[in-house]
Amino acid sequence: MGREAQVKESPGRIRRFWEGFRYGLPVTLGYVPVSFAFAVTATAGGLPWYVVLMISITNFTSAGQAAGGNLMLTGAPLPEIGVTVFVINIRYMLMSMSLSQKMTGMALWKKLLLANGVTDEIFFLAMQKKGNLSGWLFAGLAAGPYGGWVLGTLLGALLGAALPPSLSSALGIALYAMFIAIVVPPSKKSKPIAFATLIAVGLSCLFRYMPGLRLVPSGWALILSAVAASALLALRFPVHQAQEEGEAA
Amino acid sequence: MNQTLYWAAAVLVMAVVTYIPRVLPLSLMRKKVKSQFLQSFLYYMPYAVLGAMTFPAILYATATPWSAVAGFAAALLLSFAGLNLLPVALVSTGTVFLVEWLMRLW
Repeated sequence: MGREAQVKESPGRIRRFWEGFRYGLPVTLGYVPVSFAFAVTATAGGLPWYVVLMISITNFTSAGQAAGGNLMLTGAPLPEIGVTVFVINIRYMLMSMSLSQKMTGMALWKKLLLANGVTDEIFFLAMQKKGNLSGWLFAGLAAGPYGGWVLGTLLGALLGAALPPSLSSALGIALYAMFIAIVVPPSKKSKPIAFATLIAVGLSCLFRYMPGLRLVPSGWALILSAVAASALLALRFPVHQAQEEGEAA
Repeated sequence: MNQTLYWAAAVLVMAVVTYIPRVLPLSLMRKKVKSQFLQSFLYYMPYAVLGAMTFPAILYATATPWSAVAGFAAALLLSFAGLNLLPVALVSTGTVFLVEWLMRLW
């Protein structure tokens, strides 16, 4: 990094990190019960607490590690675990693509680190920021939720057995409730966004319930639904970069 | 295979296949996309992904679909009312808990 860049950057680093951290606080708190629920299920199934904790520390993803944990409990072969978890995680490619457009010009090593923070919620909050993203802001935005995720897992893995099953069932919905809270406000403001959301929901229902389509693995079904809905909207309601940034503000 | 070794290997495999899709586009796409179609496509993508992830999966996230529907309705209602992520998640969770408790009373 050049000297000028350092001089320009250093006073703002901490400030931007904290800005990101504060911005991500609802997700930080929201992740605690979600990872708690994951840990309760996984330890109840028979994984030792330290294995469950290691999964959260190294994966930091909800659906993928839940599926992977289940497979581990059945003693599934490693290739099966790898393919299943990968298919569930393909959506991150789409998010990572969108995010790359807000990180042009960022040093590669920063991207290699920050990529670990690409979760559904963090990605979404990051995309609501106008213009190019600061690496420090994104780091702060990811650090809090990561801490919440690991903490929730630890608590769930250690205390989960003492918990009534009714509570862990209720916690299962927390993640989805967060998704809804994230997607509703922009859908209320912009009709094309609402269409994109609803069309994707419709397609995902088809993949769930239509004979034939039901056979498509859920990871692929998700990608196909999202790609089709976004492509349709992109053709019907093209967006200009300037317009997009104005709207995101 | 030794049990502990199996677990360690499985965790590692999962970590790798989680990191790859996160890191590849981010590190390979270094420039702004020029095509207006692709720009628009990427603009709508987040909402479409989240929508497809949430529904109908949310209906199967709890012990019974009834409590899930109640939790879903609560989350939708509060989000439309403009509440933040955390209160929405808490109230929705509470609703599920309440409905399942009421169902057990019957």
